[in-house]
Amino acid sequence: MKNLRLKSARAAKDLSQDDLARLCGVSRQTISAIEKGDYNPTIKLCLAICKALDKTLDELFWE
Amino acid sequence: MNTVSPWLAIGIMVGLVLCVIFARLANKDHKTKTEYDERQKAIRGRGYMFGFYTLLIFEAVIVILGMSGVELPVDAYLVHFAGILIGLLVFVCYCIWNDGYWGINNDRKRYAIIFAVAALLNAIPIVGVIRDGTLYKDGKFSIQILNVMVLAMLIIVILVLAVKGLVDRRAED
Repeated sequence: MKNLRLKSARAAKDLSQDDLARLCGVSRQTISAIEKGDYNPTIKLCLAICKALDKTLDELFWE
Repeated sequence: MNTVSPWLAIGIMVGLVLCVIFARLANKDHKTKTEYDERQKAIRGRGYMFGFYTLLIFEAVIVILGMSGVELPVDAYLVHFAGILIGLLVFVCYCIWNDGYWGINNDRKRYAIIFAVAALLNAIPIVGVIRDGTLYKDGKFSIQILNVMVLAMLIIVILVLAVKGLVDRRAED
């Protein structure tokens, strides 16, 4: 399932996938895969994304 | 031990040192080790599995051929080298196709130059033996067939990288 909340949070911060990837220390393709719902990130990466976007786990990843 | 062995050992050692130097030059952070994220590590793990199975099947086929008395037009060590290259190729292609090939700290343009140099270094001995007509002699391929195999692998890897790049660009559009 697509993670539209992550995509919109990233867009709200005016960050590209590349920018967010660099902030989290992952590849752009990994951010793209998470947004498309092709990859389930570990809690460690979820937390890194949340910190980069100033969001909580609930706001971005909880169904 | 024949006269080729010490030179081969020296060649392998020089090759390893060059790999370390090239990796340090080609990585953005000038580290020898390429860094991968968690998704890429998972992809690479699956890639290693497919590469290993490919090598296993290849070796099984070679054993069956050997037991059947089939003689191949290459020395045994070259056949095993071909198996390693094929296993490696499966691993690399799987990683490329699933975005697990390029690490976070890799500079793709610098790696493209290294690929071009490697292709050129492998092409030089091939040109020499083709000109001399010694690539295939007395019913067997010479050691330079190694260069042909490595060059073929490099070309396939470059082609897969190019096709993957095109597919990604279209997906972005």
